[in-house]
Amino acid sequence: MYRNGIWLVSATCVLLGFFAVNGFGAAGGEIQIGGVTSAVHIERLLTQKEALESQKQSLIDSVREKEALIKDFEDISLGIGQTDEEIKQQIWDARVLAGFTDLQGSGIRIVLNDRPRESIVLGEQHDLSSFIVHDTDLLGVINELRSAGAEAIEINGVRILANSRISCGGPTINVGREQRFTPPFVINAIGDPQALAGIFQEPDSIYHMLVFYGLEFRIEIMDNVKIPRHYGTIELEYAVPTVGGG
Amino acid sequence: MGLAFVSLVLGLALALQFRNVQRIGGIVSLQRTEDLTRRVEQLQQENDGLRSQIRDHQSRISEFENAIQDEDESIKLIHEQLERARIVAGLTDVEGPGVVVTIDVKHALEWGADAIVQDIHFNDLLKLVNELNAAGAEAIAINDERIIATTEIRSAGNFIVINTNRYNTPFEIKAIGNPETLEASLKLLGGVTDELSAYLDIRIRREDAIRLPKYRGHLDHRFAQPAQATN
Repeated sequence: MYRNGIWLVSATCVLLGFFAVNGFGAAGGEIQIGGVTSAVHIERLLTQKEALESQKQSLIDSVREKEALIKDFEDISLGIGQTDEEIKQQIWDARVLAGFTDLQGSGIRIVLNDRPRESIVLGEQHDLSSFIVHDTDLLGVINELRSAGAEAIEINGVRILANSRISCGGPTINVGREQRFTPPFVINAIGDPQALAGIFQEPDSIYHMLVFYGLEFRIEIMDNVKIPRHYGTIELEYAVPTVGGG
Repeated sequence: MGLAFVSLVLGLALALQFRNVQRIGGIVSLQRTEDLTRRVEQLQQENDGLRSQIRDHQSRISEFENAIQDEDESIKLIHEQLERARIVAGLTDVEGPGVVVTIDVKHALEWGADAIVQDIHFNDLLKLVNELNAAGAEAIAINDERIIATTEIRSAGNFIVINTNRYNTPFEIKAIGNPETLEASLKLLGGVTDELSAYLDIRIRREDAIRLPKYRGHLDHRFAQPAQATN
């Protein structure tokens, strides 16, 4: 009887303590309320994101449709011609460089990722920052691909052009004008697959340094890799063609 | 009584633990909200860009429709198309305001008459170009070698290779864009100039009229093909 009494009192006190804190908590409970509102907020954002993504897809379809039409007009204007092969080639070359076309061809795919968390031994003599993919690493990889003769490159679906920047934005990496990404980074490049893969075997390649620190750096030879065009207009506000140059 | 007190403390601890878990949940969703908000804004911008592209294309198509009977007019339009692509690709000379950055080795006279702190490394140039791009540069050239989508900047012995041509110190980077923005971004406190100035001599000057030559290399797209429209 006496022992039972003790347990009863104890249990009551535990409950009491629990409610006491929760009671206090309710007084300053902005965090919990914040949590609830952000759940609703997140849901709304998700819906909005989904809508925008489907809009984007149909806009892209429309851009492609119109481009096909323009191409037809060009062909007609050039008289489906043998005579104008030269100018057709020039238009094609300029468009590839300008990022105006979707491309496909042989090449490689690289997957670059931070060192897996479970492989990091605490107390190891390295700064944690050595284990993550930095903007300069991506820049180095792109530069080596260019050096190996890559004709077109993309990172996570963003076409890399002459004035694409790759910069650090805190935990994310900015690629191109607006896009921000977190790892893993998937880099596709069109070109001679052996040359593209081979550059990372050279002694001064960034590959060795990244692999040394345990980052994931996977290279896959691709028979056919697709690379998207650059989306959106490129407005040149300051640079104008030199008259009489060109 | 002692037991009651211990139980009370236990209860308090339990409740605090419980709240901590909730709090972490709150922070996580806050970050998630920020990510989503950013993504939504990004998509809005991308879609705006696509819409203006569609408008451009549409007006092009109308021009072609009007010109379809007129052979000269059609050919003129083709040449315009080509010109637009060339400007963006870096296949025309361009001019405009911007900055000129000179990069030279730093002499260390206390170490000897010809002593320098360090050679210029390709990475130094790569960083400067990337920083200028981040600041909205529209066209860039290093030692009059135009930077295009396929340009590499790599070491080869004592040289730096740009567009397969070899260059040596000193280097001059010319960039067209908003001169104030370009200069400010390079001179950012703790930015790329601060970093490189530790071992190189970097000078930046704004100019009202910079002229950049077109890409002079060979164009040969042997691997890239037009993608079949699958989606």
